[in-house]
Amino acid sequence: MSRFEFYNSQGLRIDGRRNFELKNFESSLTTTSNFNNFSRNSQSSTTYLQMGQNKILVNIDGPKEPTNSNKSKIDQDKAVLDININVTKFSKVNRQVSTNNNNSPDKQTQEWEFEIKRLFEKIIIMDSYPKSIINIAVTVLQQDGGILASIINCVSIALMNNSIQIYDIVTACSVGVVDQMHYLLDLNHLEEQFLTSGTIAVVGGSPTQNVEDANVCLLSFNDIFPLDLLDGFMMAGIKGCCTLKDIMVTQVKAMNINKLIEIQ
Amino acid sequence: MAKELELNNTEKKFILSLLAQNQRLDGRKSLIETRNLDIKINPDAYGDVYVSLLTPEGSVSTRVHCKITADIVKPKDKRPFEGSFYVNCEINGLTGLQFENYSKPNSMSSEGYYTRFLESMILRSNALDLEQLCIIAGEKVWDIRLDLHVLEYDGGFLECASIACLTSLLHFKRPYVEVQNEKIHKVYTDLDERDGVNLGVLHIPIAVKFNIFQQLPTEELIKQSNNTNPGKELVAIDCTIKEEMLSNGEVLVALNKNREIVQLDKPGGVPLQSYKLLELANMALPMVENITSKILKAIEIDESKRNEYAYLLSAENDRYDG
Repeated sequence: MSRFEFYNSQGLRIDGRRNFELKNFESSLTTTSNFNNFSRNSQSSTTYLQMGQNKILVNIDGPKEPTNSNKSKIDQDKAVLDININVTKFSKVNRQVSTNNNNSPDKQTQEWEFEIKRLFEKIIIMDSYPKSIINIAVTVLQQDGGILASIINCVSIALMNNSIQIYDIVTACSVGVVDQMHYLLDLNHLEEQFLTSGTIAVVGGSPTQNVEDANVCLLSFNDIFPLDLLDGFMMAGIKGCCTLKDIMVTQVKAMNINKLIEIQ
Repeated sequence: MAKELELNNTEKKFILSLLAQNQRLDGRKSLIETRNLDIKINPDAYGDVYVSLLTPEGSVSTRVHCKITADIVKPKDKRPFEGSFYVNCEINGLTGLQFENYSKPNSMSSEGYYTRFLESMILRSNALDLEQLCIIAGEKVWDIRLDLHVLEYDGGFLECASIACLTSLLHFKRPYVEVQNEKIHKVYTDLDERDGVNLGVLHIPIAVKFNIFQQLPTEELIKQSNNTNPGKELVAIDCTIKEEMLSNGEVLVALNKNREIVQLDKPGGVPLQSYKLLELANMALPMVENITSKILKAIEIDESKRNEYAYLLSAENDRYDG
């Protein structure tokens, strides 16, 4: 199956990373890098995440009072979460021509929406926003493997930027297995295509924590895989998620200091 | 809008306290006890299977009908050597009023998610060998369509459906096709004339669903992750619909008996510690082995019924027994 050497004897991958090396992770509060164009009056801000070649925009609207169309969904005790993922047709190398003409999302996207909604329903403190709705709109501009993990990371950052109360930070990471012995973190699209791979999301991971106690809130695994390797798979994923959390915290802090300076 | 099934607070409390005492509403004595499985194969057709889960009293709680049909079509341009496989799942108002309402046309319900889980469980793991379905490369291949109807619904949809799918895939026989000079010469649709060909099922994945019931509020679960106090959450197998409505999260595991994970999904819900997930995956293995042997036995019994006179026609005799 391997036409490519995914992990060579020197311990390098196709794109020159080591096996546990993450992609470069850059997030910003708006799409523009400088804040001159940043509108102070905008009610909702857009969070942009670039994780390797994955480029994702997340826009959070709310918590707000439901509009007429979704008034029936209102919950008296807690907030209602509404997630919309738009994977643009130009996001892959080949332009995807959709067969359905009414632009409805495909099955894969619907599955992501379902998983992410279930995930964040437990992470956001929904009780603090009764009778309101939180709209999360995700746009995937470019994809290069591990897109589900990137979406989760970006939504997590966007929630912090919009000061929505969450229990703890969620980080996600994709993991692949080479030759049933080497684990690779944060796959690119070639690796994702040819290797057994999965996505793992951890809430509130920290490097000091015991790996076995990490709280796994999402695990998605679609390929055939020996049961005994699940242990190593999760260890690798959780370590990646914990490292990612540190990076995320520093970036969110830096981002919001910039924002504060701009407003003053 | 049809009225959904609703639980009142008393009933909720009652069910949860029962679960905390390791008991179930339908009389099962343990959280990891499954309902009795009953596989019925239609003796007049191939790949026509009814699978039901029986309560300890013997009444049917969940029943699924699965039927396979095969058709000859032109393959996709990208994959000229492969046939196609499609799972169609129908859950309508017949099974329960909660399925009458569709919240949003483009969003996925949990049943839709399970159907997709089933389809990718069979396709992505190569449980059904699609290359064996090729008749003439690039011209004619078999298109296998699996229709799944839920007739009665009281939880346990995923287990029931996966068992039904695999049983009918193992049991189904497609007509024999005679090919001459790259053309289809004859299709033996009458299975009495010439025996059909079994589908190439390479391994038997079975899905198991675990429902998680949290005991502590979510805040404490996430914050106090460092001190491991056992029994923080209850895990139940084969939940009824009322228990499913109260559960805070789920883990879907599909395994085969070769100790391989075919698919593993934990779609959000309450966070679970990683060692617990490992435990669950290992817990599913003996169940899967048990179910697999049940399926194979049901098919064997059906086979012997069909070939009642096989021993008369057989060339084997006592002398040759060796």
